[in-house]
Amino acid sequence: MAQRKGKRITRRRALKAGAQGLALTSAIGIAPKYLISPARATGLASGMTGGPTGFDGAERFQYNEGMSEGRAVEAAKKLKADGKAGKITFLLTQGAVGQFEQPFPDGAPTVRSVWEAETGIPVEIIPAGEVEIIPKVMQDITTGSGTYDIFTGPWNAVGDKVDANGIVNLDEFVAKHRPDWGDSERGTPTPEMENLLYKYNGSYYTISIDGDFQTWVYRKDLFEDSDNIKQFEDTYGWTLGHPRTWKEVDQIAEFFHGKGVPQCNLIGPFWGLAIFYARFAGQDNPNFYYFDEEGNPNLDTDLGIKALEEHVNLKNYSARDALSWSWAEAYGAMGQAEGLMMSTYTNLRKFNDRYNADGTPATPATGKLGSFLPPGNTFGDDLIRRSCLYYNINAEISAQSEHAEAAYLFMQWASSTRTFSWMSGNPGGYFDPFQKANFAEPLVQQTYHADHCAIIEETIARSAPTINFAGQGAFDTKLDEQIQAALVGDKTPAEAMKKAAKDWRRIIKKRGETRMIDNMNKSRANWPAIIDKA
Amino acid sequence: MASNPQTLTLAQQGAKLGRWMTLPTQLLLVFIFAFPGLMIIYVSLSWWGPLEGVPWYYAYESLNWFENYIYLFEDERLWGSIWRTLLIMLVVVPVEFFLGLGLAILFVDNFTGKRVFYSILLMPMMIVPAVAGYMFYILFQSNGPVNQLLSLITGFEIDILWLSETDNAFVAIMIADIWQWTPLMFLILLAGLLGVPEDQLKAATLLGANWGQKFLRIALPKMRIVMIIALVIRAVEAFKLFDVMYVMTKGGPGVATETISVYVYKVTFMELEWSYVSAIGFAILMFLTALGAIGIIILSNAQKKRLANVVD
Amino acid sequence: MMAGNRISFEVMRYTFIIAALAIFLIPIVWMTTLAFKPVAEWTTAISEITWLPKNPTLGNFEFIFTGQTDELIITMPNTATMPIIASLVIASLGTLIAVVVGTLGAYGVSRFQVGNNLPLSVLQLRLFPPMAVMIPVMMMWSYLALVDTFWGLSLIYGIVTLPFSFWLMKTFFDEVPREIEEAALVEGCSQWRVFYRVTLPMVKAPLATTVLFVFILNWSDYVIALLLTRKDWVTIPVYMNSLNSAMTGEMYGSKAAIGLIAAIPPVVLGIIIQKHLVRGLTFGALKQ
Repeated sequence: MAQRKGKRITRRRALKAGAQGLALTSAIGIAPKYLISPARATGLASGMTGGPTGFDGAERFQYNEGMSEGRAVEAAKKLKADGKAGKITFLLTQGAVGQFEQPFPDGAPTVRSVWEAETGIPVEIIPAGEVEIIPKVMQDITTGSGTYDIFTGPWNAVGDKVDANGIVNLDEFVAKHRPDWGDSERGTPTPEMENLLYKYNGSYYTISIDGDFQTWVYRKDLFEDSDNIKQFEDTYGWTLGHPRTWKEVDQIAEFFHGKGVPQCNLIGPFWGLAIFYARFAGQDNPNFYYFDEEGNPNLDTDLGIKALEEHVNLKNYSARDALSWSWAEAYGAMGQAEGLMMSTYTNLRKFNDRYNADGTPATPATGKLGSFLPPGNTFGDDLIRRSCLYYNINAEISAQSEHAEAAYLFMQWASSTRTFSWMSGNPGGYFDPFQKANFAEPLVQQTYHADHCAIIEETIARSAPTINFAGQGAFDTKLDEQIQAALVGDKTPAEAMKKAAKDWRRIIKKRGETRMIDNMNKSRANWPAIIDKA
Repeated sequence: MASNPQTLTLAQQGAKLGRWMTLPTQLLLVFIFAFPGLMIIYVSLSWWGPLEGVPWYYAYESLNWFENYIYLFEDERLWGSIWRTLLIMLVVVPVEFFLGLGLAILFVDNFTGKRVFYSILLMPMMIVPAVAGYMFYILFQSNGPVNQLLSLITGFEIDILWLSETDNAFVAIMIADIWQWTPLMFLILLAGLLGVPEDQLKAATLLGANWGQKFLRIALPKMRIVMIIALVIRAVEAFKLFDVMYVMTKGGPGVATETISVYVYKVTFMELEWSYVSAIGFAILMFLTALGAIGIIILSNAQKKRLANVVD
Repeated sequence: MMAGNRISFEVMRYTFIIAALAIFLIPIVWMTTLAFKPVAEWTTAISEITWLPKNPTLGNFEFIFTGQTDELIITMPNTATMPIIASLVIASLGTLIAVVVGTLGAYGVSRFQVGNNLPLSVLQLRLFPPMAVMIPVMMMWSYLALVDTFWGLSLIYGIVTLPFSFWLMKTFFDEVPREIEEAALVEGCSQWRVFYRVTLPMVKAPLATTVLFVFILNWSDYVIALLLTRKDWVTIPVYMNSLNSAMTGEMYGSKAAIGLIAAIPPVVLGIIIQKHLVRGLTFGALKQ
């Protein structure tokens, strides 16, 4: 245990980063008493029956039978007593294991150990790389081997797993154990988001443990530099600041690209889809859907082609190798303070805008990053700002699990607002906050920065879904290829979109038109409704 | 069969031993061909895939006969990827062959440092291909070591976009493949060269043959089979090129570097079209079997000719 | 005249070899230095790239063997120890299967006019992109409970590399002159003894080459291991590919560290085999 010490986020370090955090925290209305809470003795707060202990603020993550976590624990204990619960095998994406296995903060137990201690049901975590997880899950489902009780994987793949009969419909469990996922005070920022993150085709199937809402991060130091502001105003006639439209994003990108600072948006295969979907969704008021009501792809419409033209234009201001970059390169460039801005997973600032245990800046970008709301398009007085939900690790219960209910209860416990707030503050993994309670949590604000949290919450409210119907992999791959063909200049945007639409029609036909159209129209209810003032 | 083993002729004994010796190979082949072969053919005649939600043996429920095979012909990505694979093969295999042969010739006789040089030369093929892929990805960034070294050597500012431009990415992948597999060519060809009888070479030297004549007249004919084998092995492996290039480009930019293996991988694990993959697999097998059969005929003719030469 | 030629040949030889070595070594040198670089020096997608580690660290090795290191704020539950053992066991066993079965089969076909179907069938086995047949193999392995076992993976490796050992060995057996074997037979040796005692020693060099090549193929496979393992017998390439983190994306430094370690067994094997290759020089003499 001793050797782990250097790795924990120490209180000392947290306080150093906290001065600015404190001011912002108060500004957005979090009771500051949490931050100055007295050192507590270990043990549960009064009225609480479970939860982590042993560190400052642990009481914020404790619960009793009246709360989602407590209900899960009590029900699990009962299952265990009835002999209906055994070891839970948990296939987990590699990058998130730390959040279950690494103590946070100092003196805290691990998330897994709290569950095991309270319920007596052991959890075995089997890590798998992100690229391997779909092959592993499909291997398990199609061979009927039932190795895992819980799958994790991209939210987008939920439709595939439902159609493969690989996962359990959770409606019954949800009704019985009442998780607080959609709680108006503590749960998802909007009711649409609960439907989006947990339901498929109207039923509960999947449990969100991540918040991959693409959020813009930029170089505050460059935007606030007085020379830059002046020069920019002379050139473009408006004051350099948070862009509101894609056009303004392009102007800012053009300006700084001329100064040798490129945008870091990922535009290569897979990664580039997210920003394209976000741009696409904001092409119409209130939303530009991927399909019309008869199930025809909107890709090759005028607006769809315009979206791709704009997307291709992005390349002009991006880093030279952007087409081949992955996460490592883009995060690296932002972290080395060599990039301008990017729309990406929210943990960019968690990892790059932080201090080492000894108080020194962890990267050259520490303290230089800010966030802004997704840009959009204006329609008269309306401004449609759109981001999107892309990838996002969700958990599902395997249809072959012998202890489906116990496995579900573990996930309900881990994904409920108290446990998840505790977990998402932990820098040891990449599960990002997305619940109201997470953003209000001081530990999360320390890791993610309070100003960033406020922006993320607003970004979530403006996020469109990406594709998660059965056949998602095929939809995304076919579109991605055409986008790439347009980016490298092999095809014009119009040609590319035409081919992508053709490919999409073929997939729809193959998967069954009636069913697909039903899925599409049902998913429309999950699109954001927020309209900003232009 | 003869009842008494002592009365067996040598040929009969040999045939008996031969059957025993080839038995394990035969068994393994039956084991690996029977079930997967039947399953591939069966599934390829349906729409079955994981998204159908039933085990594979229910594929008859979505039987479509030859729709997958018909789609093979209109699938431009498939043909594109086959074409790209062949192109890579046609470039890298000869380059590797001549580099390997050149190096092998230099290593035939003894010289100072031979063992050390030899060990280092073999190293590229000992690096796990996926790791090599990551190294090349890093080396080929536009500000990366390759461009910096080129700038240093040439004296010009070189910043080629290796991985983000179609043609360059193609070249980068070929370089990586040549790097990794020239050592194998070298190894096989050297083994072949070492098999050329020394006394024949000595005799030729005494007769005043120069180095080039010795090589062309004596070594080359002896090595023909080894050369064919080396070329076939590399061609077969180049056809399946996957790890290095998947890491380097993921088939991109666009589909510029998508080979048949990358395409099949994407269809399998991203698009989950398993019946279509089966059709592709079966079609490739049929096609390559035809090619292989032709190759074997050529090879056995070459062998016969060679044996005839020996008799002379 | 002769001496002058000799010297210019030597100059050419060294120039060519050293040039080739320099190029061949670039990626290997990069991998080696990368293995000792801290996170900030991993990427080359920034303006100041690092050639030699500025702040050399053993952190990458510490991370893959203990799952944590001071520099990274993340941990990893599975370490490289088991994958290294798994790879050693599986690649060796797979090589053993392929080489033994392949050599026997090749000799049988080469000498006794049996198994005439084998040359083509064996070739078919290798012509295939493994990806295209992995789904049925995955099903079959699952039914036979071979998934995530060392014997299951060794078996498939033995099968997919069998074509190489078969074809390489067949080629070399075809080259061995029959006269020596016939002489031994006349002296009363059994056919098996002739194979084992006379022919096999003559093809030591090709056999060594075959072993090395087959081992390398098994050692470096990614796709098959990805589909036929789950957790207990994950091999090095699969482990290496799972080395990515939220903090850094692909963990290049740790990948280089495991890559460096993974190069050791084939290199050692290569050195052992080198001895036999030198001995192979006598191979030609025997033929006459």
